[in-house]
Amino acid sequence: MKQLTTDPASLVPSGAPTGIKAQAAQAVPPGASVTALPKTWRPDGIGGGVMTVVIGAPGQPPVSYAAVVIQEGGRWKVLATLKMQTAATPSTRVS
Amino acid sequence: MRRIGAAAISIILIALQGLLVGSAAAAPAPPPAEWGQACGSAQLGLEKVSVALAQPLKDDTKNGKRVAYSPDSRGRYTPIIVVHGWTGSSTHGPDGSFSHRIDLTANRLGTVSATRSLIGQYQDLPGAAVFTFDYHPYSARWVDDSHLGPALGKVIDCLYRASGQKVILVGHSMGGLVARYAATHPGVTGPDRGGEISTVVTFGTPNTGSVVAMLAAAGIDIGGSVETHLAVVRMILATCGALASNEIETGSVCDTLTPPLRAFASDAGVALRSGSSQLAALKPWPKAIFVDALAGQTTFQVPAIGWFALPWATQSVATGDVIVTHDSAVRGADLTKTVSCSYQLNAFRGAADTLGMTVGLLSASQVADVPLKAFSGPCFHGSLMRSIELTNEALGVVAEEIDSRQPVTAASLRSAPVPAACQHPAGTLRNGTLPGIPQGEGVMGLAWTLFNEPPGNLLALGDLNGDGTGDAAATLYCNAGGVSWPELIAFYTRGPKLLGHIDLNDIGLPGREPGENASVHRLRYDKGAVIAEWTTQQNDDPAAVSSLDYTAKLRWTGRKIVASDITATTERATVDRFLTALRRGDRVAAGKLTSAIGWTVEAVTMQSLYPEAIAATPTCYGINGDFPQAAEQVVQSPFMDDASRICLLPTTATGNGARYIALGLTHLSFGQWQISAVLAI
Repeated sequence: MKQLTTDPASLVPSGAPTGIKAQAAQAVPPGASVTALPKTWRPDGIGGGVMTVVIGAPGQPPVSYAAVVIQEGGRWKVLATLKMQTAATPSTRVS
Repeated sequence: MRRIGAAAISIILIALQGLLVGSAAAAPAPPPAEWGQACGSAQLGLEKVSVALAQPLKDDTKNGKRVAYSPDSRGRYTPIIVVHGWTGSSTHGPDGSFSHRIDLTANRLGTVSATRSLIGQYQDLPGAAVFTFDYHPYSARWVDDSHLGPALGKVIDCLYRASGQKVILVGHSMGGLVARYAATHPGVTGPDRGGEISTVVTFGTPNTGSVVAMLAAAGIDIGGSVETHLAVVRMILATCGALASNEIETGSVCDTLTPPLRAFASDAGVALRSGSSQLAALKPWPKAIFVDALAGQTTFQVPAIGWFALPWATQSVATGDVIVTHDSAVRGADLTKTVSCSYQLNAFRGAADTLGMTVGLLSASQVADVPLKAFSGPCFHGSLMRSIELTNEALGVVAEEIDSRQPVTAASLRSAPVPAACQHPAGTLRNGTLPGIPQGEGVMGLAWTLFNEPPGNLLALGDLNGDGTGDAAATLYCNAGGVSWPELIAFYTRGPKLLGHIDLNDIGLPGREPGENASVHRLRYDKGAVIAEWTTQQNDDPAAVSSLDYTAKLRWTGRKIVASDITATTERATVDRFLTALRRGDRVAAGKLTSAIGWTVEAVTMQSLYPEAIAATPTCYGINGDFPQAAEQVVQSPFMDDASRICLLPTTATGNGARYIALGLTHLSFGQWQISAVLAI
């Protein structure tokens, strides 16, 4: 996950939504810290899994993401992320 | 049900092999229990594939009683073969894909109180005989394996022959593709089985493959929108716990996903990848087969989905039934039905940094989110046959198909369509009459209903259009508020659907004008046609008198009713026989044609006085006829009160002698006349 700050485009899988690879550098704020939590790793049973990744931007509260991780060409890629709530409570519904 | 031995089964098999399908004269089909044995795995050499007549389960009830098979109005059964998908089983029981009670609805405010499974629903339908085709020992194989598509084909051939009925197939998931393989390969009626199968219902069948199958093929670029779908699926999988459960019958989204994913490395799993050569090799459904595709459409609202700080363009992810996209499930069908569910998917970070996911119903009300593992719904692949919305559709299309095989009856004609006639528009009868006609402006309807009589001779039943099912020729009566109009004869086929109609006044012989009205005496079915007998007026009859009896053969050509072999009977035939008898001195024969012996005596007297008249050719007139001046008063004679026709025989007398011998003719019934007066005038 350290590549998220140095070479974020390398973590984008082929076939990702158009524009993600080109904008990958904007996915993490400049100067932000990236902390992957290995203990949260949940395999999906088909070679990939989900893991919590915390992004700490300077002057901002940390944001936790559930990152869907897959293997492609022998390398780990992030397929998508889901911004996490802090607890299992109903969030604001999409209207 | 009486059990019979193996020897008797062999005899039945031999007899069934020679049974002509669709033969109207065939004996009633045997109870379906024998078909299950005759078309079973052992008889057909299907090894571990099992074929069985589904026995009603004690939990499948209607009004508190276990459902039971019953024949249709013809005393027949239509085989319905249910075929499971690639991780399921058809055998009717606790693990059967079609055996779970129907208990799910997409209606957020509703609950389901059904007391039956889908098989139970079918078993309750008159005329349905449900057979399970269970290939689960071989379910990792592709549909062209001898134990799948070809085996199902043998079962279809056998049940079609045994029942004399086109079969109906119901398939879940890959079971629909097994059905398609069988349908598109040669059977007993031709190069495909379109002549043996009438209807197919599919639940979540991956006609263009399963996108989720692509998960087993790493690194394949399958497009952005599909990636969104797969991202959600992988997220759910990880939360469910890898392959944690093998109990797909719970219907939870976790249990829907894991068994199929286990199978994705199998032959079937490889073939089910979207765009596979195996899928491309499957032929389209034969045109003769009606296909109703049922599908789930689960949409997850994932408001926080993206790539870290980059939100994805769409937060709404349509996943089909999660295993099969909606488009794949409905491709190639004649009719489709979709059950739609919308949920919001949330990820949360719990205590000790645990990852959790919840699924919530997407609504304005405060519905507590449900942990993902426990969440079930009617739109998921493994739950489709528990959905009240989809099973109602599956039941309805089968019920309609069986109903369409029932012959037309007098009872069903009470709600038949009728053509425009007597200044009334076309419409549909209600209780035998056309509703909506203002009072005093007439009536239109089934003649026997309007006359308050049994159908009797006003209705003929039989196959009129050659499709093997019973049709009807019915007499329709109408007027516009006054005198009767000529009756119509309408041909109906199953439905009842109006094939066509004919106005009796449009049928006649050259030289005869149409009468003011025409009334049917009798309709009789005769080898695909209808022999119609009716009475109308001759040219000089008043409207209240009908003296012309027609007979014609009516046949449906495929586009209209055509009349042929038209004959007409009037009083003339009776007069000719009477005169012939007199001329040869046969008073007995002559007497049989008169209403009283006195008229025979009078005729013999006239013969002695005016022999030339009895030898002459008669001229006959209606009551309104243009009589010769010397005979104009004859209609005023009280002796002619019962006569509807008068025939005059000229004499050669002069002076005070009679100028004519007048014979009064009474129309007794269709084709029957009687001499009711003999006068010298």
